[in-house]
Amino acid sequence: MQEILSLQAKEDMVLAREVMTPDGRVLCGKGTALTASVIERILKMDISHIAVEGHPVEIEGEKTLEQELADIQNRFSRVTHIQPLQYIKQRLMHLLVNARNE
Amino acid sequence: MRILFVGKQIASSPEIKIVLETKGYQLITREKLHSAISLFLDDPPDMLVMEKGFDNNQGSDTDLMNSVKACQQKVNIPVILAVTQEDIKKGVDWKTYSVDDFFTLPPVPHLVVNRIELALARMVRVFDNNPLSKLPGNTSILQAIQRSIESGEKYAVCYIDIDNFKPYNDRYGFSQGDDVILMVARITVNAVDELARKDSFIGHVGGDDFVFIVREESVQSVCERILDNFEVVKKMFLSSDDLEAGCYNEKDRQGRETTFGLLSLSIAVVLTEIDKFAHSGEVATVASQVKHYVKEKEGSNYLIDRRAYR
Amino acid sequence: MDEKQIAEFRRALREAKSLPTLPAIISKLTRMAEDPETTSEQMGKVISKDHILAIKLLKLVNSAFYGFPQKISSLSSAIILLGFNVIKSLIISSSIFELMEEQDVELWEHSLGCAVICSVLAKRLDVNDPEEISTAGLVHDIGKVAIKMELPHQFKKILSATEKEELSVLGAEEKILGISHAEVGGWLSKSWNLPSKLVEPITCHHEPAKAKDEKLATAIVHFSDILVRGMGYGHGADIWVPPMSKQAWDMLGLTADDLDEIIEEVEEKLWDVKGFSLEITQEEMKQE
Repeated sequence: MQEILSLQAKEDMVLAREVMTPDGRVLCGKGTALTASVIERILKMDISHIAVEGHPVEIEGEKTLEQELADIQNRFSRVTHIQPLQYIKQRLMHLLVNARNE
Repeated sequence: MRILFVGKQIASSPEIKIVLETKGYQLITREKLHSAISLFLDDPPDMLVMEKGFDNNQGSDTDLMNSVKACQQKVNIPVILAVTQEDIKKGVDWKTYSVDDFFTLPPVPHLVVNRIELALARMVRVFDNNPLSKLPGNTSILQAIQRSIESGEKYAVCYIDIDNFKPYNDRYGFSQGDDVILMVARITVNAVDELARKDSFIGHVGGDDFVFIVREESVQSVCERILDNFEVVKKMFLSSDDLEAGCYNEKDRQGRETTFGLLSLSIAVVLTEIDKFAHSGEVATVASQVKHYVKEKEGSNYLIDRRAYR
Repeated sequence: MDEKQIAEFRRALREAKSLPTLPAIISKLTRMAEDPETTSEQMGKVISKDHILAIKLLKLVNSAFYGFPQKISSLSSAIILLGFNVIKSLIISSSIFELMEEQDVELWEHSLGCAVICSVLAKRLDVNDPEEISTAGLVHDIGKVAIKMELPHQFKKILSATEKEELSVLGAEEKILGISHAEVGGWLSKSWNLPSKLVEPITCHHEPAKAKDEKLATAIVHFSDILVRGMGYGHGADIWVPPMSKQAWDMLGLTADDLDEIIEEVEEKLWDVKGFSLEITQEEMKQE
């Protein structure tokens, strides 16, 4: 599954998660194959991102989970003595792992 | 006195430069639109002399004029247009080129200088502009109202008033009060300009009273825009404490301590309809009745005179 | 830099007329300005995503000529007061011949991300005017642009020091210039007559204890700067999350639950920003 920007959506991509409208109604269900008109509706509603099956969007320099986690560790490596920042670091790592596992 | 010349021919005449500088004027020249506009944004000159169709006729001349008009907040900047003989023969659309004077190319130095001096002198003389906002004053306003009732079309004449202005002045000082007046002027001008420019008029009666006239179909959106924008910007003119409290205490006209609401605007709108009024004074009379009702309401409001006020 | 060089630099800053803007944003705005249907509100939305145009507008509206010196600290008020024609003029006068470099995009993203977090935090803390604080967040690193523009040689040295010697940008600035981008930003914004609601957060965003009148706003910008770095959105030339001031942290009074919710909200809002960023990059490519 890949979280992508609505702008990156292309026809034939399949939704990995239902798309909700800003006022909480379901616009398209999980498993819907995207068509040009569906994509247009999503964009018109200002929905910024959606989840699609597989990994259809090639992102330059995309990293593995291990690399991303190492990056986060590295980023926070000079503030190990500041407790709230370490908490944030752990939280971000936790969220990243969850996102990748879905 | 700094004078900006924009355009190839006028910018490159050494005689004009010499004559002007002898008279104590400082001459600045530009040939391209974006550098001319930059000057108006950073360090505006006192006057603009512009060649029609400069920069290859790409509409740069009207863009520059719009910039100059837009920045006429604290000063009036006269604009003189340099045109060719052909332009004159064809006829210039003076509504689009709303300039103060013109001369024909090639430029004759002493003629140009005289036009410049006339324009500067005229700026001081002609208008009944309010010294703070530079908007037209009472005489122009009455004339504009008269024109709209005689036009055979439907207009809305709108009177803006700042609520609780006296206690605001007492609390924040007159200088800040002036800033608020200027702020309301600017918001009104921008709203009318962006939503209802055609056949519109904006004037400043004096103090905290403004009048604007727009075509009837635009009046609601213009009033909404003015009031919405006022609510956003007024925060910049109130202290955090007062904003937090939502009100403040000052003495009223009778000298008693009273609680006043924060700044708000009241707009009283009178529709001219067609052949309803004969004279601008009648409009003003109805307006004061509408004003009475709209000012009673708390906060910023507008009220359009219809058959029933409620 | 010695005293003489600093004085020279400050003089150059005072006279600095133009800051380089992202060409793609200028061309997008130019097209919008030429479309008769565009409203100043729509242009405002785009401008509110660009730290350079934002500060240019703030400079204009706070200038003696336009009438409100040191009064206007929020971008939306600046846009309302200046109006469509002035904004259009600003767009026309902004040079489109600047090359967009990688650090410019990184700084742009960082500034935008910081603004978003400031907004989330300010609303959470029930601040009077959250938009003022997000405006401060948007322009907090303007000093970096000024250094790049007026001291390009030293700017390159700073960049290479962060890479080769693994110094933080602040560390490299102190070493090579003797002053920080925060201080420089403070000079610039002060000489442009911006209100202290903006000047203080800009000047003190790395040392919030030094703020006098705008302690809370500064604390919010300080924290937002740190969090946006932590979330890896837009770099500031160095990749390390800078230290957080205890004073600022205490002032914010956030709990672990608050942090969880804030992170979640920010993640969501950053998607909008990423979407805009993609639009702009696509815009760039259309130009070529």
